[in-house]
Amino acid sequence: MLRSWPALLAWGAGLIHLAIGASVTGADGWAVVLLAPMLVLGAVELGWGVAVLRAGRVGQGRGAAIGAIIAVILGAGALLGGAPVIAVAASSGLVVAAGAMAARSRGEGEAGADVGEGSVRASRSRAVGAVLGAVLVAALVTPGLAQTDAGANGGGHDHGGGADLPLVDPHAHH
Amino acid sequence: MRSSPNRLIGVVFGAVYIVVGALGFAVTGGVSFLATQGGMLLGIFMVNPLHNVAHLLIGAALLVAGLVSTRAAKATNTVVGAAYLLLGIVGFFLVGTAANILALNTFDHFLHLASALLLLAVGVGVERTAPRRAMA
Repeated sequence: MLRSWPALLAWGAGLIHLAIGASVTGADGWAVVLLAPMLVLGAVELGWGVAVLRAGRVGQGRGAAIGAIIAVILGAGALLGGAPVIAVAASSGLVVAAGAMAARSRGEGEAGADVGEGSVRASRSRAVGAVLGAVLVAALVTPGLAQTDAGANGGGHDHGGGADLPLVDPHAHH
Repeated sequence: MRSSPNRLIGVVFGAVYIVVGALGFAVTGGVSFLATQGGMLLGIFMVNPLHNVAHLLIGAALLVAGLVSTRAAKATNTVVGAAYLLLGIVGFFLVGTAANILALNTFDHFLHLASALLLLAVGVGVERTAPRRAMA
């Protein structure tokens, strides 16, 4: 039932890391060095999630766990580059959970399980697990993304004294 | 159809998005087609007429594919999921700008991200050995 969760958690972390990395466009100096790896990290996490889902199993559980540790370290570095704390905390939580689940489930596959009634039941179970996982990850990712520059000012990066874009209150009514 | 998670989720999500798209027109009277500030659907989701049309089209695509075959449902779930994932993250860059032509707000982002993750997870990860022929 939870087989898709490592991928979903990695996708969630990847989305936040990409949003954090996107603020590199308005950064300068050391902030660029600290934030740029977030773009690579986010892309790797999205790709890893797709690979895991396509394969139906976590191939390198230990590698995923080590990758999660590296992601947390890079996230801590991004904090020094001005990344929002809540976004880094959310992405770190997601990536650690993904790494832990991957390490725990390494070697577990589903070969041979897709036969007859058992296959239908397994498919339904995976679908229910995917629904729950998607809602949980979206609930964690949305506030994390909202804290990034992208969520805070709609891409109007104001680091370094750049021109401010006029903000629109999304809840205002006319 | 009930034995295929891709078809089941495609049909359910398709129906829900069609209903959401239709209901959206009830709260967007007087709102211009590309307005960056739309009406509030269910009190939380901001929509404008373009957003409603997008919901109707996406809902129809998911529903039809889910009714046709497992392969079609799987492909449609994956494509729509990827599009929603892109929208989920790009949307954050659009809010507060003139480019927010879908009148997106935070709850829209949540719905789009949850839909993206679910549709992609089912489309990519379930029924990887789906039969090539249509299963009516």
